[in-house]
Amino acid sequence: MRRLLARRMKFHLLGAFLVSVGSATLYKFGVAEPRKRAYAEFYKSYDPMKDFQAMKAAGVLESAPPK
Amino acid sequence: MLASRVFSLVGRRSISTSLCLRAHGHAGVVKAEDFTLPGYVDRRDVPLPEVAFVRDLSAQQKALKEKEKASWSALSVDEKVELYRMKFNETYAEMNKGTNEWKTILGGVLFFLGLTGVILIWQKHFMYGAIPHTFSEEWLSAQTQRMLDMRVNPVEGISAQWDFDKNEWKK
Repeated sequence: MRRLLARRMKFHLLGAFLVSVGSATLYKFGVAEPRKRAYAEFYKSYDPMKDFQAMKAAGVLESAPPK
Repeated sequence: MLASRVFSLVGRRSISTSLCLRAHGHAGVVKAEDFTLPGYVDRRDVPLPEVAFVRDLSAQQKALKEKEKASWSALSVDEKVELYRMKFNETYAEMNKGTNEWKTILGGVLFFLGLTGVILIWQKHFMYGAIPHTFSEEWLSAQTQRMLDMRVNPVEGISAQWDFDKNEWKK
């Protein structure tokens, strides 16, 4: 029964620290980094004019109808 | 005044029986006014409760308490345990012991989830009308085609899963 609160507090402080740091790390390397890479990849070879012509041809732009 | 009316309706007998119900397990009857006095609790964070567990000591226990006033090395192990049990109801180990309550709770939760599921299925089958025409296969495929034409979510979303050159979903 000695140091009842101290023991519990140590355990929970350590646990809380590990859980929060762990979840932050998991998010960074599971979600954030892949997303950044996906955007970099996409815009490396992105041609907006070609995209515009494709959308125009499909007929979704009201002010730029396909000829 | 209303309380006294209720009293006469209920009758004196049931009031006294409710007091008698409290007098099980312990030495000594617990009356209503006892709850205003310091009481005994079995709690992890209260290591030394305000009163001892056993309130009214028998003659034997009183003799033991007298013996406790002398040197403790004169007490036998059984006497020490008896003194402990007079002072405390459960040991910390007994207090902290887990129960099987979680099984009941989990069972109850799952049961009511299942019951809700049954209700929902019944509703879908017997109560609700037809879903809107915009959920038909033709409409959905035309809708998806339009989304691809507009290049919706081209980086990570739906247009990223479509191969525009081969006109099919990416593998």
